[in-house]
Amino acid sequence: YIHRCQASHSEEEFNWLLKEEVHAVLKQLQDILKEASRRFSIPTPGLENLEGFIHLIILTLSPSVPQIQDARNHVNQALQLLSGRDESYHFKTGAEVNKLMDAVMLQLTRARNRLTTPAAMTLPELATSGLMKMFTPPMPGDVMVNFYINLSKLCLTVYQLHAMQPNTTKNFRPSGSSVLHNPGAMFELNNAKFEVSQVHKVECVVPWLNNTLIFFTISLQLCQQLKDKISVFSSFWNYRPF
Amino acid sequence: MSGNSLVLPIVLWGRTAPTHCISSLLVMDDLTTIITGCHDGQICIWDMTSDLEISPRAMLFGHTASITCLSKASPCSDKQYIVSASESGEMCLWDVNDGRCIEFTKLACAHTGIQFYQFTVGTQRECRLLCNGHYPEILVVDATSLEVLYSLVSKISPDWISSMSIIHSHRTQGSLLHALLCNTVLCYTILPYIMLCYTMLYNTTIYYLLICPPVTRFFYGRREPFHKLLVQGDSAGRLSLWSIPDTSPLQPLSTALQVSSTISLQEAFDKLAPLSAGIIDQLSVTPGSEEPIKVTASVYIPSQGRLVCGREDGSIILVPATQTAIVQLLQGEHMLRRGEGGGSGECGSGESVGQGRDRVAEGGVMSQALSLAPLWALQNRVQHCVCSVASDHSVGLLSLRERKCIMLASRHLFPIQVIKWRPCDDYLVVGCSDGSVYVWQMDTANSLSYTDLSPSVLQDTILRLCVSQGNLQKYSNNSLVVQAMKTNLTDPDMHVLFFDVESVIIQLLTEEAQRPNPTLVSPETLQKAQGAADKGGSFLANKIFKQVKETMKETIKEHLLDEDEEEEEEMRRREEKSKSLSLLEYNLTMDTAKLFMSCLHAWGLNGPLDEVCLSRLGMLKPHCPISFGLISRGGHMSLMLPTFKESLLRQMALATGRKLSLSEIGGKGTYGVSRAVTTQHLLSVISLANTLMGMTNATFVGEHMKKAPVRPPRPGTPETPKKSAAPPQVSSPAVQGQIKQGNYKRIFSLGAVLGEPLMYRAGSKRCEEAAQALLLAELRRIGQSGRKDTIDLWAPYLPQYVDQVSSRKSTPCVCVSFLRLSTVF
Repeated sequence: YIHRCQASHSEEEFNWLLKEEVHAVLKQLQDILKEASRRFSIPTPGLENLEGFIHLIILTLSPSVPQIQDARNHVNQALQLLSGRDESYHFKTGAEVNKLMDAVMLQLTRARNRLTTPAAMTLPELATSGLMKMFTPPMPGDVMVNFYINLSKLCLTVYQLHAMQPNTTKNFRPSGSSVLHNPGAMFELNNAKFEVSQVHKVECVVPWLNNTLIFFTISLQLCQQLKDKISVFSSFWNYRPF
Repeated sequence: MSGNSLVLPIVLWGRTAPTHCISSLLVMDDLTTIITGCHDGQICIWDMTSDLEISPRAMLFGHTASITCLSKASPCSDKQYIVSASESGEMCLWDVNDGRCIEFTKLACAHTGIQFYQFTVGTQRECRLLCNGHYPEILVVDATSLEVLYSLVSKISPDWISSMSIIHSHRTQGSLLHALLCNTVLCYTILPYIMLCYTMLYNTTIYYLLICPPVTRFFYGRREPFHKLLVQGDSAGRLSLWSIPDTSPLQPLSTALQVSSTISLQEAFDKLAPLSAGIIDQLSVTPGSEEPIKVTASVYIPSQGRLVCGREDGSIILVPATQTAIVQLLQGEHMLRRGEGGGSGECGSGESVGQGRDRVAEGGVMSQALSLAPLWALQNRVQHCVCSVASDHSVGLLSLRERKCIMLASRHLFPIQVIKWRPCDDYLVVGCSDGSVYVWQMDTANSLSYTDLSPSVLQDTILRLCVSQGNLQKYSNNSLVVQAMKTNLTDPDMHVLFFDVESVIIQLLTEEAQRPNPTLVSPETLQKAQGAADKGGSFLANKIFKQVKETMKETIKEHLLDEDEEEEEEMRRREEKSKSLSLLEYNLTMDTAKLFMSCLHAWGLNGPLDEVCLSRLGMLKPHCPISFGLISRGGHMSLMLPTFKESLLRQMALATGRKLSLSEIGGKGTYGVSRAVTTQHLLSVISLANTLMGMTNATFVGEHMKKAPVRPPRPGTPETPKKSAAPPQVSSPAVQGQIKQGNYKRIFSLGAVLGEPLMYRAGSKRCEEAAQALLLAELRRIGQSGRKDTIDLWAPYLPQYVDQVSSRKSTPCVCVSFLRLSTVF
């Protein structure tokens, strides 16, 4: 009898979870992600000096820094997934919730990874990338720039190039792909050989990026907790399809 | 499992169909095949008849993440290639006919749409794949090499492209680009049509619970039969077809459309008779219930040939792997026990280890068993441990000896993906799915450090460091490896047996060499020895001869005992056998070879030969066609679903004009499914038969199948020869050996004959490799003198042959012809 009683209680509890708790969590998630998504597009007032300058750069560049664009797109996809299941939707199974959480978590992990791991590029890739093409007037031929996000930092790297003589005695070894290239790295572009003579790197902490990353982490934990809550019932019912 | 050696997978799917939550689907142009991709990364190939009946045929493994899109990748129908892309940026080119992976590549970003496009440059036909996805470009990829040729980028505010459509224009090919970049779906004339169907569809059919929205697509046949099909795949692994009648698109259909055909993977599995076998079903089906207890985690210990299975009720079972596989796959004296309640002490019964700890195996992955015979100086306590992961993301070290949990690490917020340890330092490193890494001290369960938000790169690095340290074991015997697989974390385990043909052969030869009486290797040597003795040769020869004589006597004795047909004896033997099995005193290599040969032999093609195989060689017939697999490039794998027989039966019924039963098709079944698989099988059979031919005890009946070599003579009868029942050929081991050799030779040549035409057709690198392995085995067999003889014999013919085989393709055929001839001689 006790067992049956327990079973019925847990079933009620599970129904409550599906009907109320899930939507509460989804609402919370949506709020957090909307906040995060907003950061990608609206300038935060009250920035001074260098920060303000950097922010200006981000504003003008943000569609061009692929990492920000990708992160924004991933967040938007996650939001889209969540908005498809608003309060009017009644979840019938735990598996359904799990599936939704998996999809959301995948997008969030992607978005976060995009910001935490800058793409490693070869110098020719960098030279032909969209970053170099967006300047008007175009950059001088002996300068290359790279913008990327690393965690909550915006990094700007300027490479001073030095064209190598065609009949140089120095043996030419093209460098591989890397986030940051060192002086002395060589590459070939349009049949001309170049060597990096100087590298300047500027970093700047962008507070709103930091916040965004925290939002991502919180959202991911919320998702996982919801999944764990559901799995408690699944183990209680000993693998019955629920 | 390296790609070089010939490795054959055999699958035990179990009764539960793998989870197949369909994320994308594709109908091939000729409307005979449907391809579905699922959220867990597998691809399923379904056969479709002209009457729109569908049955799943094979499952392709290799993608690590959800399949995002599928597209055809070849223009003509004789070469059916498809390309698949996954969420993690992988792209893979498959051959639909045999499930072979032809090419694969990985990009940083995921594709969400691929379109096949073919054009002609001069007389050359060029095939391209146009891809869009999580990047602001359209990538143009070569359809055969999967290389990115160039990309199309918009200069004005590039962003991700959600979909594209190719408009075929008669004027120029230039209009293509324009159409590509407009970011909208262009779907003319069909569009209103689909809308109509959608509305009807949702009213009528959805009656079971789905966990995510189904995928629906519209296809129309360009050839006979001109079906217009609406295909839907959903999260339950169900495919539904609606055949749309020919009406004008503008005219609404008067009645709701009926489902033409629908089937799910699980339904297909349930329809099977006998049901698809799981690896320890004989132990897991409890008398009261229908369903076996699900195996949720398993690990194979190759040094002992044992399989450790963790079950959903929390118990862990140890079974000898080959024995349990034989029970599940083959017919034999153990038949009665198949699917029966698991009394302990029965064939293949295990020792229950960890009853009662509920969280042990639940939904978790038992990632590794700590070595049972470690090379490193581990602390004694940790030495005999099994590491387990529970559904609350905790890690436990369970001592097999003390039968309790000696360490519990439970602070992880996210599911655990990987566990490594550095035994010398007593550390356990746990990697979670969110990228965090925890380091634990094994002895005290202290959490030493924790890094959050570490990029996946860092996690990889840390774990790689551990791998180099933690790789303890190296086994020489990897002829059989049992790998547990699950498509979804919530699924019960299915098991794949990987047979490494070369290893089996090497192992057989090694054991042969280690035998106490190496002189008894083959009848040839026996004859040689006799000849030498007759000549009154050296002392050594005499000694050998004596030895041979003694062993002969012994063998006769043993054999006579074997021939004994009294029930009592039979019973006793059985008892003995099962006892010895539970004590694990059996010959692992011979068992492996037996299982392997029995699975691979082409049953049903040659009646008398089958009889010989059963009675003399001790091979066993399979219950029903066995689900084989095919390993192709880069660890990609195709596994036949148990339901492949259905479509096979249908085909054969069409061919013969009558209904066939499963047992009738037996071997013919597997020899006809796919060219690549057949080639591999024939080569394996040939090379293995070849090896067994040269062995002393090259039969799977008799005493040597057990490790304990000497059996006490039965009191009473031993010396008297058993009456007429004993056929004449058993009188001398030499003759007996010759007969066996002859039998193998027959299997061998059957394989060779079957194989030859195939080789011509499938002249590929894979085939060549296999042929090479085969040739090597043959050379090994004939030995130095044999090699010389063959060369002498062939010397006059060789030059012409070499001229003919200058092209790479025909090498295997020559090898086989050569081998065949060499056996005939």
